[in-house]
Amino acid sequence: MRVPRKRSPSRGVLLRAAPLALLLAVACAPSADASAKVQCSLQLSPSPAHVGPALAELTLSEDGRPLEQASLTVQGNMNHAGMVPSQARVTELGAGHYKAEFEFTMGGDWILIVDGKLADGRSFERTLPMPGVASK
Amino acid sequence: MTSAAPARRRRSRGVLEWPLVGALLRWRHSRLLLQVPLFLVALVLVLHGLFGPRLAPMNLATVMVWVHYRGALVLVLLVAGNLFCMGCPMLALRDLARRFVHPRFDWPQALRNKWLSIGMLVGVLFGYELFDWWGDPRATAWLIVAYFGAILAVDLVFKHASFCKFVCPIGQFNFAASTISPLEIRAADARVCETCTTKDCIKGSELSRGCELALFVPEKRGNMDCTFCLDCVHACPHENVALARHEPADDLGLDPHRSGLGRFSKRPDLAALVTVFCFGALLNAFGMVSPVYAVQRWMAGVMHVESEWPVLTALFGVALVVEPLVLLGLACWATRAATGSHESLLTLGVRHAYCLAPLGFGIWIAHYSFHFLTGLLTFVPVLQKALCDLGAPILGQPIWRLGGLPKSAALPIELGLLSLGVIASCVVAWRIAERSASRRTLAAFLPWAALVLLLAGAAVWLFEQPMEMRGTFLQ
Repeated sequence: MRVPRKRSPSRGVLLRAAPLALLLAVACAPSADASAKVQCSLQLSPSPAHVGPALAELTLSEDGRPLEQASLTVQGNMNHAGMVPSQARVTELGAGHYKAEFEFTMGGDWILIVDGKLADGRSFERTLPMPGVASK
Repeated sequence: MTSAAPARRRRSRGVLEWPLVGALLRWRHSRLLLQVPLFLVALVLVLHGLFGPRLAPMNLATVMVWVHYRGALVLVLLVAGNLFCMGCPMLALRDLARRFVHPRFDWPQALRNKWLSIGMLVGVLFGYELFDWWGDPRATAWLIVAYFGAILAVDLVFKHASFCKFVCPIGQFNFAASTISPLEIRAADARVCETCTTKDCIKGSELSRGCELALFVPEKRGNMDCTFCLDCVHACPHENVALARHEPADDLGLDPHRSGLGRFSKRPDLAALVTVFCFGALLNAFGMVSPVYAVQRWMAGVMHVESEWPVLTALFGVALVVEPLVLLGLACWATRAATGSHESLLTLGVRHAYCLAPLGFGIWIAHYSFHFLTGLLTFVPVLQKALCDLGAPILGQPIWRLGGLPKSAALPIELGLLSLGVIASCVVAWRIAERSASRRTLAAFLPWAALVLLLAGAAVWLFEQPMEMRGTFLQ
């Protein structure tokens, strides 16, 4: 016959405290990202991409409206460790378009990290995958 | 007393007599000095892997494990010995756990060989390719956790160092690689061991436990199965265990009875380990060059599949089973035909396969040192970023331009290391040929030299291919 186990008092306190902790965690969570609606699209040349100099044309918009005069830092990274990231030189072309010049230093999967500050002071970060860069 | 003093002067304990380092190694808790920092590093890697950035080049887990740990491991094996097994943090945790849980069982007799660990080694190589661990900080962190869990699961049930000797894939890699290391544990003076009645180095004493890997110092030859734990050093009441010079790859050409191992020529599992070690080095390097994707696409087309695992399984089967069987089989057949031997192909293969260990190591170290040297400083900005993310930018803002040697400078180093492996493999092949066919040494040597050169040629071709690392299949 199984003897019913006595529930420890501390366990009961923990069980009661858990929903409260969850509630507090949700209440204290940061508000929605102020730049959530910022769209960042990428047009890459040459296409298909291969090792060597590359040009990424980035288009920034929000609710269909182009975002001008943003300050952008663009960094190309491989999806694996041990490679020095490729820092891009960024120029604004106007009407929400920006030109980022950088170099693919190795074949494989790349990721473009766009770190930006909009004209109204809001910051955003976008990660744009660039898979399958050919080695030749 | 008067006769003992000159005898003590004659025998050398090698590194153990060096100032400072020797005293440190002779200290009973010296191993902890390596284990504790490595445990803390492992803890940081797990935490950053699980909670840090998801991008592999920005996470300490992926950077340190797949670039720095692997590179440092092979370089330390080349210049010193199996120090990473000596400093294994998992053993420290196991020893702590064994204070509370005492293992009761002996490792099963049927598994007292290398077959299971060969499977584990192949499994790790397979998982690395299939799950792209190199590009996944979370998976890398869980891999570290799983490793800690595995050693506890095995060594809290089974006595001695069952995990190290029969399961650990990294350990088997280190054992095979340490055959070329310049240091080994051995008796300082064989005459002292002859008069020893207590055999504390294997049985243990109140000073220390004996060798957990069943290596009896007077009959120990080379580095196979030795984790450099120094238990024998601390247990020996005669201070007769040395950490002394080992001629790299020298003992691979010999076939004495070795404590805890027997004769190499009677161990097909050890020969298979060395073979997988060598062909696995080629396969691992092949996995990150451009042609592998063309081969995978072609195989997927032939097999009419779209998922990666059947293609990888076939690729591993070809590279680690079919190719070695065919190439070693041909070398055995040529040896038999040229020497007029009546021995079986298996016997010849098991005897000669050990000549592939230095070449295998040459390929591994060329490959890993490339990543290590070209990415040497890449951990610095990752560490800077991690500290910035924690709100403690004590090392400043990340300097992402920090890298390492240019690729063009790394290639000659790669080829130099590979050449050393080729030369050592040829020397071992010659010694084995000399031993097994003293009258037709050249005839017995040539097939194996040809095999070594063929595999080395394949390695050179691989190193000259453009690197390409993808995390996606059939792209």
